[in-house]
Amino acid sequence: MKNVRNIVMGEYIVTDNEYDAITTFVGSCIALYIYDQKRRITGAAHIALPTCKNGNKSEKGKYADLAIESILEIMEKKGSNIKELNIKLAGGAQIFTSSSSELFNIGRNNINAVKNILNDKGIRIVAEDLGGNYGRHITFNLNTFELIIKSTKGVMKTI
Amino acid sequence: MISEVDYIKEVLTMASIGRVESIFRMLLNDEIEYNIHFVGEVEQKDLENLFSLQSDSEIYAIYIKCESKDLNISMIYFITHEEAKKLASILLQTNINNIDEFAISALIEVGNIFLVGAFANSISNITKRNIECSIPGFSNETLRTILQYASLEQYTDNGKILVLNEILRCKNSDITLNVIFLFNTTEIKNIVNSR
Repeated sequence: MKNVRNIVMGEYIVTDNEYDAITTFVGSCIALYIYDQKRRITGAAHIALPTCKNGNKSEKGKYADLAIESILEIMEKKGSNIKELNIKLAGGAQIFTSSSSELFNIGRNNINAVKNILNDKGIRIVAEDLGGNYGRHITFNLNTFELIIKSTKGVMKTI
Repeated sequence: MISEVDYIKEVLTMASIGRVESIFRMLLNDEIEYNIHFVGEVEQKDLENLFSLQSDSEIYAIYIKCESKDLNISMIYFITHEEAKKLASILLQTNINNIDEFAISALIEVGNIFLVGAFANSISNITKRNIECSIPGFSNETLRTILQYASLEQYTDNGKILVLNEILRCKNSDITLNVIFLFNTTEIKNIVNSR
C-alpha cells in the first residue's frame, strides 16, 4: 500500500479517497474504524479513555464519547447516513495484571464505553478483536475495508 | 522561578540519594549507580524514542500509579528478560531460568519496595502531599505497549507529557533497571507556582 496514514493516541480522522490504509498501534486503547462502504468514507480514532468527564473537551480523539461524536458529525456532513455505517474495532487489552481485578482495567472500560455508545446510536459492529493482554499493530485497508491485526505475540488475523 | 523540569529533577534526585541506595543495599547487598538519563517534556508519540531498547523488545515491567488531590504520577520500572532472571535469582537465592509466578512475585515486590518505599514516599515528603499508591501491576509486553499504557492519563491537551527516566545499575550484579516517571505537566506547573 502506497499511501498510508498512521494515527497516534488521541487522534481521529475522517477520510474519503486520500489514503490506501490507516495504521495504528494499540494496547489498552481502542482502534475504531467507522466506514460508509457506499460513499467510501472512513472515520478512524485511536481512543485512549472511556469518557471526557473531567478532561479537556478539546482533546476529542482521546475519549470514546467525544471521538465517536466528532467522527459521526463529520461523516454526516460528508453525506453519510448513520444507519448505513459499519464499525470494526480492535484493542482494549489488559496490559497490566495485579492482585486486584479492579485496577489497571482501562482496556475493559474502553471496550464497554465504546460498545455502549455505538449501541445507543444503533451502529452495527461488524467485526472486532478486543481484550487479551497484548498490544496490536493495526492496518485498516481503505480499499477492501479489511482490518489486519498483528499482535505483539506474533499472531496475525484479518477481520 | 524554577522550571517544572528542574523541579522534578530535584525531587527525584533527592529521593534517589537517600532511600533508593539504602534499599538496594539491603535487598541485593549491592551498591547502585544512578543517573538521570532523560528529563523533559516530550510528545506522547515520541516517548518510546527516549530509550536505547527497541520499542518492539519484550520487557518485564512493574507499574504503580500514585495519586493525590492534585498530583498523578505513573511509575514504572522495567528490565529485560535476562536481567529479570538475574534479579529474581538474587532475590530468591536460587538459580532462576524461567520467569514463573514465583519469580514474578519477587520482581513485583522489588518494585513495591523501591518505587513506593523510596520514590513515592520521598516525593510525598518533598511535595508535602499525601500520595496514595496503587498495588503494583505486572506485564510482560513490548516497550511500546507498556509506555502507551502508562502515559494514557498523563498527557495533556498539547499531546505532551513530562518524563523522567532514571537508570539504576547494580554494580556487583550488573543488573540495570530502567525507572520511568510520567507526570502531567500542568499539575507540576501548578505545584511549582504554588511553592
